[in-house]
Amino acid sequence: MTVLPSQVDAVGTRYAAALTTVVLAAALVTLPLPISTGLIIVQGLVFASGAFLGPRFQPYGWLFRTFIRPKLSAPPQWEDSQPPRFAQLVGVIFVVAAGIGLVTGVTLIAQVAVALAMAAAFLNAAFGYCLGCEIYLLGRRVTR
Amino acid sequence: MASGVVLMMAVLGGATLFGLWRIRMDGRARVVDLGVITARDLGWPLPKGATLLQFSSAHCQPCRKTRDLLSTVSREILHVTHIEIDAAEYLDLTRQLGILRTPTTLVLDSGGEIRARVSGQPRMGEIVAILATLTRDPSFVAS
Repeated sequence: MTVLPSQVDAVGTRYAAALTTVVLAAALVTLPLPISTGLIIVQGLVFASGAFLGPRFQPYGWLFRTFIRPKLSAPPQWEDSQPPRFAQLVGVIFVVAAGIGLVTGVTLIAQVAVALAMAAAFLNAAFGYCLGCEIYLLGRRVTR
Repeated sequence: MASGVVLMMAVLGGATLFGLWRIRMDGRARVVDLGVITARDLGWPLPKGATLLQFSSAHCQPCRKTRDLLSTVSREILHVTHIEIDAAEYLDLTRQLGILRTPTTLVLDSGGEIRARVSGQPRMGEIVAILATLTRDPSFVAS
């Protein structure tokens, strides 16, 4: 194993993705009510904190470490924090797209953006699906 | 509101089907005939013997698990080398081979011929079986 700069508990990452799925599902169902905007902003801040400040500052990760981790008997599965950070960055991009939809009044844009982010979070939570693995190389192939 | 509920159910239903399908298909070795990997493709010569050529990317957790699995295989089986490369640094090769995601692993024989291809985290038993067939081939050149 190489020495990794920063590690996260993979179990916590899955729990955080599950909470993200719930928040985004609530936002999707309540669009275009103000509560939906509030939920999208909260989720956007959570994504941004995870992407730019790192996993220690991701609020859902903190909730997991404080309330759920002590109750679990299974040991932490330490893994590199780079892949989940990249996933959070993808989340930021989806939330910005949803924000553009809200600001311009085109609810459909917001619905599609929130639905895609929810699908990605759900696939991560339920199946451990790695969105970054799928889109990173494709993105590089298209842009170069 | 109502359209949001329908959209949510449709997306979660679709994602569930997709996830289940992916679990079934992910990591399966496919016997393919994609040609030969040469020193010209890579910029450096292939090692002697069989090679497990793994395409990875930086933000990919399954790539790390695949690295652990394949490096174990290469330590346990004689004449097998595991090489992990950053797919983003070999974009021409990924285009030529139609590699869309990471990790993708190619099983190469001693002549550089692609004998199998795995998208996702490989299954150890399948890889070992393919390598057993390949290293028993009379044309196989041991390292």
